[in-house]
Amino acid sequence: DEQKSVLEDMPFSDTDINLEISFAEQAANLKDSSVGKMCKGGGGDTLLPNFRLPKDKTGTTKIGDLAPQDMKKVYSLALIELTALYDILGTEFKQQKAVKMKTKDSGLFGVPLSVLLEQDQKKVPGTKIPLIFQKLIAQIEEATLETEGLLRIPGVATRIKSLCQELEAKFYEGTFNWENVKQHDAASLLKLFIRELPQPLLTVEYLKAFQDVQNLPTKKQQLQALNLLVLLLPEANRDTLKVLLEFLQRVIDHRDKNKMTLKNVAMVMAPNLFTFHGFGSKTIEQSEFVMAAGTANVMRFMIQYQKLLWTIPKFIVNQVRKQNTESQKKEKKDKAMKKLLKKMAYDREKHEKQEKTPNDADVPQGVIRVQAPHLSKVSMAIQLTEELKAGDIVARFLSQKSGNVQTLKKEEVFLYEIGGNIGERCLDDDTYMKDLYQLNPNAEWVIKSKQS
Amino acid sequence: MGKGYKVVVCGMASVGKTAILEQLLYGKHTVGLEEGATMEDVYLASVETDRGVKEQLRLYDTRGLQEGVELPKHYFSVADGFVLVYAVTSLEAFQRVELLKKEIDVFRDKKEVTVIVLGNKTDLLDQRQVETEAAQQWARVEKVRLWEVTVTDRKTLLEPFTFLASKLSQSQNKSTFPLPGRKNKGNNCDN
Repeated sequence: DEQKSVLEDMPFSDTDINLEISFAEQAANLKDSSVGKMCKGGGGDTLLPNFRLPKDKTGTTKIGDLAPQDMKKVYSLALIELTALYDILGTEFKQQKAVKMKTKDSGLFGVPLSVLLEQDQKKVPGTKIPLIFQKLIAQIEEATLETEGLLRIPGVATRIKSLCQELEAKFYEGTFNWENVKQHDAASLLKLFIRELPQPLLTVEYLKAFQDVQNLPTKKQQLQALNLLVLLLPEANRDTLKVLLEFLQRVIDHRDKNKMTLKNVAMVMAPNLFTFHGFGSKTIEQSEFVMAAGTANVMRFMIQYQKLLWTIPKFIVNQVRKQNTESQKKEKKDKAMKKLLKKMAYDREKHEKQEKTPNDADVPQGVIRVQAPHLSKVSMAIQLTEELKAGDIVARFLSQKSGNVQTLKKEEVFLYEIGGNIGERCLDDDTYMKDLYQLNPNAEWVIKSKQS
Repeated sequence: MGKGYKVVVCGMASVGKTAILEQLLYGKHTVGLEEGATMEDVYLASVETDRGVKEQLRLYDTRGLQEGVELPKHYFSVADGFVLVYAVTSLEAFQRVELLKKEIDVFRDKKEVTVIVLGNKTDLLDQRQVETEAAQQWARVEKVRLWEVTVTDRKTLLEPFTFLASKLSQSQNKSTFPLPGRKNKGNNCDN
């Protein structure tokens, strides 16, 4: 029996995910072809395919790689795409209106994410995940993830209630004594925290859309819809969800000991994320049992494919590039007009300024100049070749790191594509520079550390 | 951009320009390792002058020159100083330095430019083609300082660059600082 449950988590086939073509377009094409009808209706089985992302020569873009101004565009594009995808697949998609209700403006449990983070950032600047949430996960992991029935076995209700009160009073004071918190109690507190969020972690707007993922015809489409939904989440929700999913995966990694398979963890966690009574009585009337089984499937997808879900599909990034190019064209026109209206003297001054940096203009074809303002080797002209990857360039700068300036580790700095048709993009090490250069010839190339 | 004195390091290909800079900045060198030709790299170095003040140098490591290939002209207009490098194992490389010095004299106009010359690879004793005395003789006529160095010994590099930094800070302090009492053009709108 145990053998079987381990097997359940094993993917049964490889399926490539195409990120270059709009998901909705793919769905439309599939619908027209007969092949689509054949692979329909695989909703209930337990085996999940091994979805793969084909390598993109211009580099994979992850959430967090792009600058905020481009992420805004990604958001609107994802919304359009999701609407189209649901429409083609005959699933109703309506953004739910957030209901206004009174929420606590301080505390830990039952407090909106935004309020929590505001509180936390006063304590620890730059906090992106609520401190209590991080602490609860750390507390569970500190014991051991091998505990049988972890997350499934509840803590003792009376203890949890008093722990809750004590945490509310002492957590921020730093006087709470964590030593006495039992692991199952901590797990219950974690689930309670998620449940008690006044707005669900998956947001009021998109919770229904997340639930409806289970109704989409193919697994691939379900995955694509989830991908878009993750892009649509506000940053705080998305970051917190990610930390949760990563934690759940670590629990599953110990399934041999704790008996918590992907299926079990999904089953236990789904109600905490998918139940929300704020929509009014209508949704509750729906058979909750059927829904619970379905949302557990969605939950499994999120845990299993979390890495894929945090990728920004190439067709969306390309769309962003297009939009940026268009707006630059417009800007250029406007600038040309303004220039005409300005005095000659100003023009001359500007011209002189530009002349002071003659090196940049002098870069010959097929050569890029990479800047590293924080290293002692501040710039390098590099000949592009077919094989040259972003990781190679970073390595060439860091081979001198034994120097006197500062020691930077390989994991800490990245090559960035800045400007041209993108605001800013952190490049993965396997990005082929020549291909990317052709996609964005006007970009600047800068080595810097990732702000986390 | 624009931070520090701009120093152009130039000379024939494979005389050890990059090796000199890497040894100077990072204290490391692997003899005989050809890391591939430089296109143009820029290093930011902080060098102590003889008066104990630290000066920032922007060192432009240029592409090694070949026969018939000239140093791109824009270097002459941006440089505050030059490090001309040859290898004592190559007469051709030394002649190139002589040529570069002449070019600098033509281009420098009224601008003050500090030039130092480095004869690298003194560790390769049996391959020497350029005699110390002949090189120094030329340097005296040209009124430039010349050192023979080897990248295997970092100490040989310190004096030349300290000298360079000192010379640069002396010669340019006057022009880069506005005179007291006189309004600096273009600064009016600040503050």
